Amino acid sequence: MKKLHKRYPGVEALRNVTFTLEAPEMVVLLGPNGSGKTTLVRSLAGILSPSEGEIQVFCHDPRALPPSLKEKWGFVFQEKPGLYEELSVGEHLKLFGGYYQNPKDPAELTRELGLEQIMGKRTGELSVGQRKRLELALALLPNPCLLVLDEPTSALDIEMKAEIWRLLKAQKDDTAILITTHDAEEVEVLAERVLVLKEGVLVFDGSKEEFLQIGGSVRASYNRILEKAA
Amino acid sequence: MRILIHELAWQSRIYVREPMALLYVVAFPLAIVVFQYFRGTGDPAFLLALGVAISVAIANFAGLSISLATSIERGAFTRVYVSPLPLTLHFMARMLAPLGLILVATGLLLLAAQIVFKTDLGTLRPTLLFLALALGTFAFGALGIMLAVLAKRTNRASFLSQLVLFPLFVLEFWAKEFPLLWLSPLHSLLLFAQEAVTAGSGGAALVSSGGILLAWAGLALAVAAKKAGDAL
Repeated sequence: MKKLHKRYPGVEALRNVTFTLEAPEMVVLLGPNGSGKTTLVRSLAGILSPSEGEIQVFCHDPRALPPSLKEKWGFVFQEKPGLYEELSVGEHLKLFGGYYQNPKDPAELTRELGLEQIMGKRTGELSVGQRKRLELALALLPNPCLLVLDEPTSALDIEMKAEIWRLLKAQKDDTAILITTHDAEEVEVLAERVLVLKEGVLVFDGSKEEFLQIGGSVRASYNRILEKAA
Repeated sequence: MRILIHELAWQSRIYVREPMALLYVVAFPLAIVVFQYFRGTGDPAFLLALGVAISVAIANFAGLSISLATSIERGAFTRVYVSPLPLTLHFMARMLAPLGLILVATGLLLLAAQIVFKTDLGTLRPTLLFLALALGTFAFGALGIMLAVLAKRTNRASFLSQLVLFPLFVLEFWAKEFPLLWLSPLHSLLLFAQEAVTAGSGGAALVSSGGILLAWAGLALAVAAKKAGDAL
């Protein structure tokens, strides 16, 4: 992502954002509500066109990514679950699994994400946490090299969060993972590198150690970075 | 091809799981046709063709636009966009998904024509009728996709599809008084289906109504292609 600007009428959602992701890497993106995190994720997915600057995913413009390269990424979007209410959990895995040449074993995924008991349930009947787990399963289905997760563990209980963190750490060895979150513990457990966005500007990009040195804890470092950027 | 068959099988399953689809695509046209027959409105061949045209229009224009708008609203369309499935194949599968129900509806309409109206179906040209269904599916499917990407929300797609379809359907009973009705895709499909049922004059009527359906499909697909990105 190079010198990326994204403008909506009357608002500049992203301003001169530049960073690179390289596998294997676990990057946590922090920022207050409305700081541009979701715009950044949607730009990375090729859903939004940049107003200025450039985005490249696997050396291609994500808006024109060939199907063979779309086999290599996975997304969890924040605002919309992206599920068919007419289909069950198991049917979702079969439907979306059919789009990939070599999808991950759905049985393994359902076991890892604790979906076995709800395989026959239609998505309209799922709790928010169950839906989040299914969304994560669909993102992991292609065995991706790039995984972009917009607040993937919000609304999950502590045990399930820990299970997902374990899964993401296991996935990390050959994957670049970008996670947006408001959860300080998630930063402590997962992050190798931290990005902080404020009002569309990338105000911090450094290792977790560099980030923690600023304030001593995730919360204090984060607040100090935001204050300094004001 | 494998991925298209996979997508078609799943989209068909999603489509028929909506109970309203069965009601509106199969039962509603049948009820209208039988009701109008007993009221003495129109000859049986016209009513049969009208039933087929209504079934196709409801399935592909109203049904498809509502189901696609729901996918857009809930983000399933975005999930498809980031997957390796090309959007053209997704749209194609969505267009073809109601075909099974349309064939059931057409079969029941033919049965009703034979049993209830005592219509002689000796003049029926099945190939031409199938061509009418295919053309109608293509034209109304394209219009349904266009409406969904413009409306983006289920309630808007539902409102707009009814707003367009209902007057077009009612006007068919006063077609002679509205000369501009030849531009309507429903009227063109009805004429095409009527030709298939009655073995009428053929030639010119088939070409003009087929041409109008293809023109609507082309126009709708061009708009949909331009606006699909906004629906993500």
